[in-house]
Amino acid sequence: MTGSSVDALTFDCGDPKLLADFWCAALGYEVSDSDETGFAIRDPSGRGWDVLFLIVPEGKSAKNRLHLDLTPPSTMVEEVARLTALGATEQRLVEEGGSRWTVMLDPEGNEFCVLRSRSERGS
Amino acid sequence: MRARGSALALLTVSPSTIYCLTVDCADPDRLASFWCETLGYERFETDLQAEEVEIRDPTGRGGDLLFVPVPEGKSAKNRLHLDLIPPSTIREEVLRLEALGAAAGEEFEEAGWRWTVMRDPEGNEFCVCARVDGSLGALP
Repeated sequence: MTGSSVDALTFDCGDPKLLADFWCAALGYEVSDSDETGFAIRDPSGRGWDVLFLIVPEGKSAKNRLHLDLTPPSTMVEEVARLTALGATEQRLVEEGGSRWTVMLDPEGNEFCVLRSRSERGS
Repeated sequence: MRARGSALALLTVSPSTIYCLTVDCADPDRLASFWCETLGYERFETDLQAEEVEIRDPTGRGGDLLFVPVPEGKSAKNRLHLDLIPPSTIREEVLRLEALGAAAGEEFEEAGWRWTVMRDPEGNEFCVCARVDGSLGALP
């Protein structure tokens, strides 16, 4: 049976351009569309989900129940430093069940995690 | 020159890739089953000790979803949600997803799109969408 397909992951936000710029730099995405209601970004390779940033009047009031986990290209530590320079905030390092990841906040406080890279996980 | 150099450095850095979208929930098993049926995904990895369930698109096109148990319940509208394109019409897909345990909410039409807001069995919002011109998804 064929199910629905994911068209996009949508973020509610206060400043779509700020978040679109951050996530484009984080993921190597590019802006595909924008208007007064928001921004759309896409993976130029066509592999990743499209991401939308839409303006909403309300601010963030609780920890998000959905978040992205990212695989860094080099090492977790280097990627956390790069994303911090882009406007993210490092929240905490978690070590659990033999695994390790860094919880970060994007420029509007949305939680996401930077995992260890494939080579770090393999070693 | 310095600014140009650093902009160039940013461009040449490899970016992160999305490993998965993680969903905090009370019942990972139930939510994973719902989303497998919704998206045509399959269970990929179940960590029985951590009670986590990961599901993936068997065609390899879509991103993985990971359901992890958390102690706290949902307290506000999610700031992230998935927008779905139905394989049939919005109305048919809404009925199918209601039978799987989702709840249908308001319908909207704006900027060339029509969509119905729905909630999964734990209240997570998502939308079933189609373009009004019929180029993506189908109406009614």
